[in-house]
Amino acid sequence: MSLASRIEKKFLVSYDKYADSIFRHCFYRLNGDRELAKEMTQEVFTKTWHYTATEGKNVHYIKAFLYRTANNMIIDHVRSKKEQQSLEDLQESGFEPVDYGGIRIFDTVDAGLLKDIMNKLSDQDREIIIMRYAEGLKPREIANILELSTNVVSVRINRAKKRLKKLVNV
Amino acid sequence: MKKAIKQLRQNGKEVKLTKLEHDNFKILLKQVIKEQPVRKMGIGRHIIQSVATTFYSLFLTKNYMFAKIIIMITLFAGGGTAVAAEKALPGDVLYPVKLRVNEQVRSAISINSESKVQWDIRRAERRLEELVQLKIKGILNSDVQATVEEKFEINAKRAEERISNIEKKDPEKANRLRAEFEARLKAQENFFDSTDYLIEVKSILPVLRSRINVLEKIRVDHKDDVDENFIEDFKNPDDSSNNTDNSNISIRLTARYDELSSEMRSVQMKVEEKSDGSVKVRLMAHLETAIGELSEAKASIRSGAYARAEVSLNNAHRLIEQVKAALRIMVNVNSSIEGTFDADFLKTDASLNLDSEKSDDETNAEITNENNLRKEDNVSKRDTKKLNVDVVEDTIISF
Repeated sequence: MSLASRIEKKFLVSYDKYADSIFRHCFYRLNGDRELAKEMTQEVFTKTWHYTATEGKNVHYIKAFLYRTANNMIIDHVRSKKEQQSLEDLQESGFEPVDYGGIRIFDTVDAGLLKDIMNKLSDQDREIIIMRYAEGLKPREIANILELSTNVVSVRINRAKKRLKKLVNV
Repeated sequence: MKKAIKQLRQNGKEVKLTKLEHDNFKILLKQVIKEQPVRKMGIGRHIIQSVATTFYSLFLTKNYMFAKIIIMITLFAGGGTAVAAEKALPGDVLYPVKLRVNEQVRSAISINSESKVQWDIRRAERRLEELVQLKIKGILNSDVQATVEEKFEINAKRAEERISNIEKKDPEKANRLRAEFEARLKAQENFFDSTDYLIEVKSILPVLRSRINVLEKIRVDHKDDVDENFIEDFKNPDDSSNNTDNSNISIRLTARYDELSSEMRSVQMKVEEKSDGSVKVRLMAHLETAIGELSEAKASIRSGAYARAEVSLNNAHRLIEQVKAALRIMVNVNSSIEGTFDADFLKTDASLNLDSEKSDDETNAEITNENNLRKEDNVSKRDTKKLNVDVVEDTIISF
């Protein structure tokens, strides 16, 4: 097998492994806009392929690189939109994130409450809580993605948790 | 709270692409891969890139010291050319390597501005040493001499510029560096001026003196400012509003006094070890003057005349540096002569030079001494050579 074939195969394996995680990340960060999250996931992988294979750049840790690409694209998207719409705004405008493959998101009383609470958190807290608990990433992995030290990430997780706790107990 | 996090985890597991979506994306991705295949640049691309990234990251991240070590290893372990170039003289094939590679690299790896100045001063001295070595080897001509003089001036001016830049942030450090630079140039001036053997290279003297004059003028201006403020220093030594500042200045000056006193002791030991006869007397006289300046500095610190103390410390520093530079010149000339010179030729030439520089008593004593040595049958060539080196030493150390 040639080097090119090996790189292609490795990249497709990475897609199988991380596509859901990247999609989930985009989904939460885009306040549950599933269609946009799908488009963005596809673009993340396309851009990563272009970067590594055709531009010839080296990527040491593909998972972190995919997350970082997704993060940058989300930031660009939010900036271009000027204002970030909340999940409630989306629902009010007719968007209902349910019934994709029979799965209902935030569709119970508790989930509804959680959605409200999450929307009250700052962007930074929401991002770190989602990455840690919804996506199940380890602090080390989050640190790699956000290009921070593991200690800083751990501190941020704890602080975000405390603020989440306050909101839950109100 | 636990429930909220559990809920979040549960939701997280449920948010994913459907099987159909996943497969469709994969088909699209395969299409992209087909349209944009891997660049055919060979197997080494990733390896080369990895090495390059690691090397650059040494500079871009905190591993600065490690980068420095790597460069040093490359230069000194792998760089045979660089080592050979260190001994090159103007006109040699490797001389450009010495100037543009060795010296530039050394300048680049000097981290702070002070060490960069020190290295520029040293570079200026190296040009002067090259002139002497060219003369000793008998390969000096006017073109080479003009080139070396020009390069000396460039190095000296660069050192001055760097000191001026430092002055904006730290005037005290700038004064200290100027004092050192002036002392080292002064030692070279004395050497070229008093050694008739170097008569052909005396055209360097006006260049040297012009640089010394610039430094002297700054020092004198600074001293005048200090003299003007001297009475004010005594008037307000205990001004309560400046107590904290004064205390900090006092601590700083005392630390510098201690540092110079310790350096003085170490230079005294070197003079004891490396010189003798009249050379030693002259050098020791210089150090005595420096000790006087240090005592004055200590008294000024105690009385709160800090500006005056700083001038005295700079004077002491200059004198110590001058002695150090004289010792260095002596060692350099000695090693060049011992390595390359015909002893008889040197003896005649250097002895003649000595006559013009010394008192009659000293000259007579040395001539008698030399004659006595000549008369001894068992005087070896090596002994004669040693004697002549001593003569050269005497000639050069006259301040």
